[in-house]
Amino acid sequence: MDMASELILIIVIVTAVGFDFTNGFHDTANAVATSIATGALKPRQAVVMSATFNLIGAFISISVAAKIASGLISATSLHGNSGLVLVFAALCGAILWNLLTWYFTLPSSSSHALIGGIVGAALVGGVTVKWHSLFSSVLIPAVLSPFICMGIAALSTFMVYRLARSIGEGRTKRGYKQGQIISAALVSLAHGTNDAQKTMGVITLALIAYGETHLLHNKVGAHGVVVGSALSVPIWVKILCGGAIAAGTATGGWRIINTMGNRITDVESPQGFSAETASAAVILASSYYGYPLSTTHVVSGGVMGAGIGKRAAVHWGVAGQMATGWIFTIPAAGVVGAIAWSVADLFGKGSAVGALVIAAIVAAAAAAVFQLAQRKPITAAELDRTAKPPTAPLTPAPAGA
Amino acid sequence: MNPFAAVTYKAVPPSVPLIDWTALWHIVVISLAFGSGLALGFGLLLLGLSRGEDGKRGIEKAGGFLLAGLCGAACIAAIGVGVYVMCNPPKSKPDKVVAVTSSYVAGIRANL
Repeated sequence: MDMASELILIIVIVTAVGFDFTNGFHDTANAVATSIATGALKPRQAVVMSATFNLIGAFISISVAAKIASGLISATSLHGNSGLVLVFAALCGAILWNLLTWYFTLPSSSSHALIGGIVGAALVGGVTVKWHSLFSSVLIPAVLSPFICMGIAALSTFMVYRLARSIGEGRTKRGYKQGQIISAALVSLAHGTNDAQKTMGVITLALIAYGETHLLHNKVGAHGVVVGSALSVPIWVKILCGGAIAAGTATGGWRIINTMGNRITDVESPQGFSAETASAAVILASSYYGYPLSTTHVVSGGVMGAGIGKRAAVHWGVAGQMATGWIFTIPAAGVVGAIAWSVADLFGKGSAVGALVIAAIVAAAAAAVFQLAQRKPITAAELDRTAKPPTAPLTPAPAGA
Repeated sequence: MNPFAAVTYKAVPPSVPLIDWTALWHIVVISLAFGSGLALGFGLLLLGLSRGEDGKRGIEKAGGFLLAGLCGAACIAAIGVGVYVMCNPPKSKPDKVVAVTSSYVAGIRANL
């Protein structure tokens, strides 16, 4: 392999790890926002616990590796340097959308951002997009899952508050606060098993494209018959990806945690527990039937359902902003992915220079977003509800919302 | 040059429905059973503990603790099933992944 291939491979790996990191801090809120909002856990404790379970989740299964990339586009068209640049462009689209939604404090799906980036780059890169698969495996579940989780969380919350009348308010809240630690861990574990795998798959496929074909081996079925091929994810890739998503989670995406835990509805511990258990049940049941869902969509639906179940005020204005962000995730990440691929292609097909230029632009854009976010930071201390009684939401919903 | 010139659009197979209603129905029922069941089970555990601690008569206390024990065991079992499903996804799913991954890798090898 030439130096250009080596350079592009390194850029793809670094970008993939960068995406995993943004995935971690963007999605921390899914697992811990309600636990922090109810004071079940201190913010720092919550993100460290979530990071630990994300890391464990990254190691317990590799079955979903490469599922997203290979299920949505005709992967046989990807090869050599141009294939690597296409994957790189997709990652760029996903990273930029993740950072923008983080800046605007909107919980949005990192998986959908990656899918959008892949589809956008594939369209301009002349790679066939499997539209049927995109609709049936991604878009329709994305629309239905928040409503399913909302309904289940609403019913659970309603039942829990009916039971609470016989238990007493103080005991109920204390009990469910302890339960929330377990439910948050369960959601973190589910998140780790799903999200860290995508990046592992992307890096492994890049390594194979580079020439590390020993990572591919025959899959032997019953009676010793070769039934296909399987990927071996190198241990250093697992450690790298698990570490990146855990580090991102531990950083704490406080901006999105604030939205998810405080701005959708005022969450009490029984509601938080109901939302988290409903989310974990929907994610696991869907995974079992082969529908990888966005944990962000599911958990957001769960939090709204928990508000409805208690007949508490749900700030539909905030929910509407989030839904708008969800609608634009795939197209927006797709546009960025397409632009990234097109600009890189200006320097020649599969050019390392093109990839370097795009990497520099994305790094500069990421630094600018971080800088802008520092002007109105949201810190862990502001979100801590363990030391003081619940106060008004940090960033209240607009009047009339 | 039209950048979309090389794009081909895969036709939607007419026999494959866009929504698998059977799977959707199963997902709703299983999620409802586990999600609401766990929340209800945990609520009954707390109720049992409350009755066990505050009960005036011995039988009331014993009944409360028994309820709490049974519900606690049910909650742990439900969480155990969830973790098991995470660690051991169904066999059909990885096979699909292997199939698409194989086609990808075959393409890469052909072009190496």
